[in-house]
Amino acid sequence: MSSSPQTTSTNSAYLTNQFAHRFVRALNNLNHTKTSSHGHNQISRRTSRVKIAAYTAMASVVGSRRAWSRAVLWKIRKRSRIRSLLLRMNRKRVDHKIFNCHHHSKVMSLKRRNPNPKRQYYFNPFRNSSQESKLRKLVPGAQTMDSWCLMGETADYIKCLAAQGNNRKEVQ
Amino acid sequence: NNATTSPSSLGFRLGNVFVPPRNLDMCWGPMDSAVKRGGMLFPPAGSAVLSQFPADSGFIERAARLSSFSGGGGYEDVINPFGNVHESSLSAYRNRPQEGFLGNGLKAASGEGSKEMPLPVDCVSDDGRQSKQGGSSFSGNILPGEAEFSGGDYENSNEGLVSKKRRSDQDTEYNQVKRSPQTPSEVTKNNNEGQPKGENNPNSVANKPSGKHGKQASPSSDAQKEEYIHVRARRGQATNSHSLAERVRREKISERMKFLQDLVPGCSKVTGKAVMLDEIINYVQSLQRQVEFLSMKLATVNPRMDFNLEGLMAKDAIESRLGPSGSLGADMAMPYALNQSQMAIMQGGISGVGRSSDADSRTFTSHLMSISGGFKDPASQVPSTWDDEFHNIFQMGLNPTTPISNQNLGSTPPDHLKAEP
Repeated sequence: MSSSPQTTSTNSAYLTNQFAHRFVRALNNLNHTKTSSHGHNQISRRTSRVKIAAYTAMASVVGSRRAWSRAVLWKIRKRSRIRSLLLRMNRKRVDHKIFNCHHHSKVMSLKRRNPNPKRQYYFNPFRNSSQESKLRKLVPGAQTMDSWCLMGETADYIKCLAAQGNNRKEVQ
Repeated sequence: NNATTSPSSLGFRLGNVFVPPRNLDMCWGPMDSAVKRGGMLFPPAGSAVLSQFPADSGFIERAARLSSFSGGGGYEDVINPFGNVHESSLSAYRNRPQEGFLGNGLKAASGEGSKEMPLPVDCVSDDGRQSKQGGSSFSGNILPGEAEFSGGDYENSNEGLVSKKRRSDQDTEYNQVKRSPQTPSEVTKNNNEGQPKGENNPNSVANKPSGKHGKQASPSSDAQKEEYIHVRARRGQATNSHSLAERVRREKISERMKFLQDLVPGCSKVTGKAVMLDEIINYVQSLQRQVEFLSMKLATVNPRMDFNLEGLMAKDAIESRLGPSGSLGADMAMPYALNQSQMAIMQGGISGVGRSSDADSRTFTSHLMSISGGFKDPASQVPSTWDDEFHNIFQMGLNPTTPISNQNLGSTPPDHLKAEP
């Protein structure tokens, strides 16, 4: 491991640079592969891709150190897998039964991976109920965390989001 | 009689458990009965009480904070009966506290204990208006920590304060007993400090705790606290171990809240968890919205943009090499390099924008506004749901054109692997 989660002083600049690096690379891939018109759909789709690229870059910089980055990457990969699966389904049109079973099994395998089991109701996890639940929805991968971990993840997430925002402004 | 003894001395007597109550004005009569009741309640709750020994120092902390020892007199008288009462009950608990303590989790207890170590001394300094032992030196250091510590404590204490003022001696006992991990050094120190006071009755009480390392002291002090600290009284938790762990948890959370406060801009003046959480939630939402907006801007400008990758990658490579390795040197080099990369990016951005004709830019902006208008609705509907955002994106992107995300992910996973040492 490179650094502990607490040593963020040296990571901030490193993080922004790494993020910029990856983000730009992802955007380049986007640009090269995509030849799009200016339709509404295209722009929205591209927006979503840019956004996914941003989140992915941000999460990959952090790597697996934080739960939110793991959750982000997992979600993106799951969606990409499902998307590719569905794309293959649409394109190939092979034996639907077999493919459906295969797809179903894949989807189930993807769904099975719940990183954190639901915790029991220990020490009033919803101390400030609405706020913490809102926070859990906001921060990715924080649904099944206790409050203390939630705070830590939120802190890291905020730090990365802020750095990412600055980077993107520069990229603009 | 009551006025003879000083609260500070009383505080010492109990070891670090003694928390001078605010409401010393409260009549002692009912207290005695309550204390007796509490004393008799000890045996049934022995195991639970014992497990809560770490709470003793917490009392002191509260006492020091309260620091209104106006009605300090009379503690001794009250303490004595408790000491007598609890001696017998304490003997039964002699062996239990360790188990209970361990059961709670030594980490939590020790964490509390470490924090609360200085508190007794601080309590001494606060209490010892009449007689200062040696805690004056600590007072300065402890007060800030105490304030911090009390922040978390006040949650619980306030609950009790609001709810139960005069009763639930048992609760006070349990809550207080369980809070502080008893450390012999604390007790002995307090006892030693207390003894020079030269009070007869407190001395007798103090001797017992010193002999028993304060395990007895905590219940005895708790019993005395029953009388004294009704303001402090907290609702009895279901089990003491849970309360103890919960206390530690609250403190940790408040620590993190402070850290978050530094992160979120403009939250230094905000106090309180609820407001702070609201601010944090708003900030996270605004950041996510900002990301979305910027990505939209980028998406519209994207086809025209030509990223100055070579320069950027060169600088990023340099910086990435510097990043993990260097600390001071890297910090010095990175700002410079960052400026360079910024300039490179800006050049790329400017060149990209420059290439787009004005007409295109106008159409872009018009598209942007229309799409942003269209975007705002889903964005406003589900900004608070990160999953939903991605779900919408996924749905939108599901109209298959080219699996861009795969390629993006194809590029990023290697980075991801690199980034995970």
